Amino acid sequence: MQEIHEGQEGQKTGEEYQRSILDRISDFFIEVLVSLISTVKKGWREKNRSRVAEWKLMFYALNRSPPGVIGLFLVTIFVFLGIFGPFLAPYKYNYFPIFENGDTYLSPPGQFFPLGADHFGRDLVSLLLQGARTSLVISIIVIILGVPLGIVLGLVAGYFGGKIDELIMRITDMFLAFPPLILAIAFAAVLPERISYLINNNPLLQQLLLWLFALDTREAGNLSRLLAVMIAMAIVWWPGYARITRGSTLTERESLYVESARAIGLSSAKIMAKHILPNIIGPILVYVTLDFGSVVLTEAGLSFLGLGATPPIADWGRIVYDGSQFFPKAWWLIIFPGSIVLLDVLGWNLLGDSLRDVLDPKLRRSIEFKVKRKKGEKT
Amino acid sequence: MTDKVLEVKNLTVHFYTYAGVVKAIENVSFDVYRGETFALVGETGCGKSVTARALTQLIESPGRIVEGEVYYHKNGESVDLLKLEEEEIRKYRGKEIAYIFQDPQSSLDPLYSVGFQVSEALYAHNKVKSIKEGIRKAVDILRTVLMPDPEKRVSNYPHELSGGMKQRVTIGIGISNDPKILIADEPTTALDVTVQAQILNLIKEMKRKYGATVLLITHDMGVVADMADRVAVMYAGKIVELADVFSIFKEPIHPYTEGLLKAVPNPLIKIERLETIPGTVPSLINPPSGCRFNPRCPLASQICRAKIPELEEVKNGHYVACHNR
Repeated sequence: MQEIHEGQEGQKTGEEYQRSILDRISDFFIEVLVSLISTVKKGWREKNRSRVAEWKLMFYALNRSPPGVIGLFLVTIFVFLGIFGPFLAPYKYNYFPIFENGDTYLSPPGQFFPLGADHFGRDLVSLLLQGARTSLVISIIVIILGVPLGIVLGLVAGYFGGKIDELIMRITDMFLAFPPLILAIAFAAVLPERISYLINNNPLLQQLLLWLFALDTREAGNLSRLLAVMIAMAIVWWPGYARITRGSTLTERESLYVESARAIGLSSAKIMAKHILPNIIGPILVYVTLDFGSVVLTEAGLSFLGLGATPPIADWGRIVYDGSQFFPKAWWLIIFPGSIVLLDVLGWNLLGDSLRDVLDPKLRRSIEFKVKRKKGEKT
Repeated sequence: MTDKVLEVKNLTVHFYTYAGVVKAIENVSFDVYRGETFALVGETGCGKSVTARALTQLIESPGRIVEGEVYYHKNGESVDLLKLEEEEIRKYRGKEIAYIFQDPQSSLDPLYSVGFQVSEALYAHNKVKSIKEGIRKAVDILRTVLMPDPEKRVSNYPHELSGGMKQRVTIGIGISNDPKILIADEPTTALDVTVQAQILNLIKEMKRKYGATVLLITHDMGVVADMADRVAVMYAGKIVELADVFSIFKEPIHPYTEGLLKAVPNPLIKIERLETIPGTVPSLINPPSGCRFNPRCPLASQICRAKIPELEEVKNGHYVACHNR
């Protein structure tokens, strides 16, 4: 009895485990977060003690998988750079030293700037830092626009079935029939004209976008191309989510608790939102993390093809595209942005992969067994 | 006992599958009187659950209610439940006609506390103004269904409760809106025997307390003998015999009912082997012509294969569908 009691206590506080340095670091961040919430909401910590322990255990499990740690590390860096990069950059993205000093034109790494300069003579480090923001913002907005749309359509199709299902899924199939990049290219090429009208008539939207991308007011004219890429990618991105949501909804719809919910007289919308969606959201979230890398890659691909960001707006794909004209002389214009994209995508994929293991209760148990308990307790 | 609360007439449900049309139930008619316990008995796949679900249009695609009427009588007015729109029927589900399902393990949503789920049922019919208020009320409801320590249990999640406790919660959800009819769809199948007895007693207790009518669906003749006032025996989607519980057990008329009763072990009579009904349940895509029981029936004759027997009253309140009665 005593032992069982101790075991339960251990799960509640997380103090019973032998923690590695990584565990201590993640614990520290969780404690900081919990203190922050507790100061806003009194008594939150006492009420959610088991939830906090669960978070800690989740990170212990994640810390036991090296790829996951590397992924989390890379993702944290890129998100951090995405947020603060433009402010950390030594030069502004639209600062052209070439006007003052012609020598910076395609100057190699180390001569004027640590990673060299592009054909406008701009510092590559500053461009890459600015590009981190562009990439992050576009990816997040694509996910925010595309995923909910896919989830809603998938839920409706899976839940109602029959003709509605056929209609939605055949439209989804039509979108899936085209290679996503090709379809995105088509949309990104057609949309900017219509969107520039929209942006010019909405100063608020214009300001918001400028702020999001950390751009100068001067670049307002180029915003429509960025927005077009986001919308084009969102249009291409939802069908995948509609598919997986529908699949999970179909299995969940048959479950008895959905039938019970119908039997107590709940409406279809409520059943979908309260009983089906929360039960299938786990795999979808993991898929989002796994998918984030592909969004980054597709965005870079689109701007490599000349769609999306135009100079002077910095974008990783665009830098590679511009640099390709001077290859192999100016190799740094391809190697550095290319590696950055590689690391970013790798980070998201590694994180997503181990998140799937950590969030799956069955797989996670096996990982948790690797976490050793203190005081020679049996594991 | 003469006050009809539910009148089912010629209820027919078909399932349109790739293999063909499954005639799950055909021309099922019965009345349920106020305050009684009416049992639907039959083996697996005979259409008991489909009948119960069809009453409030809970049949899911590919199933469809082909024809029939279900009159629900309340305060002298009667409504055909099958003619109502989805919006309208929703007001009857849970409030007038509540369900208790077979498997308590899976009929509760694993993501919400049991208090929330009871509260949700109350909130759906505007019995409470908010979910929070409903959770406070849920404590009383859980106490009524004899849940130990209800103040603590409301915030428990389904996985923290035992099977019997979960079934108490589902019963709590069922009675939360004071329904006039409580449909218990094999409420004890997933539970072990000692808990079964507790749950059956609880349903009896709830029935007495709230004066509800109970529609009990089961394949367990023991449960029928314990609980039911009147019994309808179903076979392959049709009612073959309908009578009060004493007549069914004492003088069954239909050969299927007889076979069913012989298959129940009797502790007073020592026999080597239990008798079984030969053969298997027929496919409902191509049911046998005439009486659906004829391939397995010891008394089957020419007329049984040619003509479908009608459900006719042979004695006072004792209906049988058989040519050989």
